[in-house]
Amino acid sequence: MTCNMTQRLISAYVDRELSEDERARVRQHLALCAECMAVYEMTLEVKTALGSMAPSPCPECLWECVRDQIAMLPFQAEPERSSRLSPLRAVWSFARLVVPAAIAGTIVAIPLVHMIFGVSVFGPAGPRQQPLASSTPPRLVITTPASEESSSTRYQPAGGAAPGRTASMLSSSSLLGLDTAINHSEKSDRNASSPHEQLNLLLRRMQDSSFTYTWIGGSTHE
Amino acid sequence: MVNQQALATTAQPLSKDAEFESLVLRYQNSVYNIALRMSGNPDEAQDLAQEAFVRAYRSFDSYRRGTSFDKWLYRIVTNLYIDEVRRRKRNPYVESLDERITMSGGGEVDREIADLSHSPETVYDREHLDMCIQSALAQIPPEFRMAVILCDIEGFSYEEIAQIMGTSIGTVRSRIHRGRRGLRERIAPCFPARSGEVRPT
Ligand SMILES: [Zn+2]
Repeated sequence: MTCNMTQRLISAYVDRELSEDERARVRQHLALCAECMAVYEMTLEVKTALGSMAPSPCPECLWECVRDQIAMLPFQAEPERSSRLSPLRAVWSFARLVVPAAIAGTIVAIPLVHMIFGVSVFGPAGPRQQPLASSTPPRLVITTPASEESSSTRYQPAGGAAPGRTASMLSSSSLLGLDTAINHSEKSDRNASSPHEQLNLLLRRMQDSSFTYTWIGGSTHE
Repeated sequence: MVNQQALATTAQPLSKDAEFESLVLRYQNSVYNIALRMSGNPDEAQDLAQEAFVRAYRSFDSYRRGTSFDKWLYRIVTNLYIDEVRRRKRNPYVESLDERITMSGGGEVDREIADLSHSPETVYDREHLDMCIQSALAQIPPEFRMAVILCDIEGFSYEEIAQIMGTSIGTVRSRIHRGRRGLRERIAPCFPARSGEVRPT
């Protein structure tokens, strides 16, 4: 084996990446050749020097930075991801569009209802207050279900009224983390033919101050 | 607002994120270390490591469970760094072993080389020695450097390095041979006492 060939195999020899045959031939040559032996020793020195370098621990913030960057990823346009939209992601995308709109709707609707109909959605003295009870019919019950998923306020006639009678108003209180549903406990709606008329009727009755508020978390009306 | 936050956290598939986090925490030190040895610059190393992890996250779904995550990750680091070097330098293959690679950090490494190689009284201080070796590393082409780092610092076999670098074992052997040949003369000044007798083996 020539010096040139030996020296080309020395790195692999040092790394034990040669076949047994090659290895034996290099070993034989090294035993006889001082020049190649010197190359071998220098090569070994390089390997040892690199391996002895003190490992540098990564900066403590590395994962935090990565996490922050990753957190921004899902909402970037990413072709290979958009094709397989997970159901949760779809819900989130939908919620991103709906929730701000619902909040805006609430902000507009609350003063509007208050202004036009003179009714406070929160009752006479603001939210979380247990209002005075009155058991005079027709009775109106305002409930706040714990569910925060629905973002519409439903004015729903209770007591087995036809579903068509349900007036729905796009007024959300999800801004406040509560959802208001007003249950209208009147037996029959004689005059109200359309949901809109029914709502007006309902609100007129409310102005007659013969209604009861009930808040979840507080005790129910008497 | 509470609603939005709640949704935002539940919208993420937690198992994937949790798995990814544990893998990052496990490999961040070696990824950073490779990046540092490749770039020779802590800031650049951090950027490189971060970018590698972000890329890994983006293609985490295509990563086959059961295959070695570290090799897959180091491959991303390798490709990132070598692409970056190519992007910076129009013609990477023109650079010879005698040519100095200027670092993006502003040539600090080059200055250190000059200082150390021109001062034979350099002490066996660990820190200085590491800086000297780092400077030598910076002077060999990135493909050679990566192969040598993966072999001598990370302890991978030629076969594993071939997988990481996406090349053949023969190419790895050649890169390591040429990389070490380039390092031999450049590392020699780091050991001034090695005038014949003392040798750190
Ligand atoms: Zn020889």
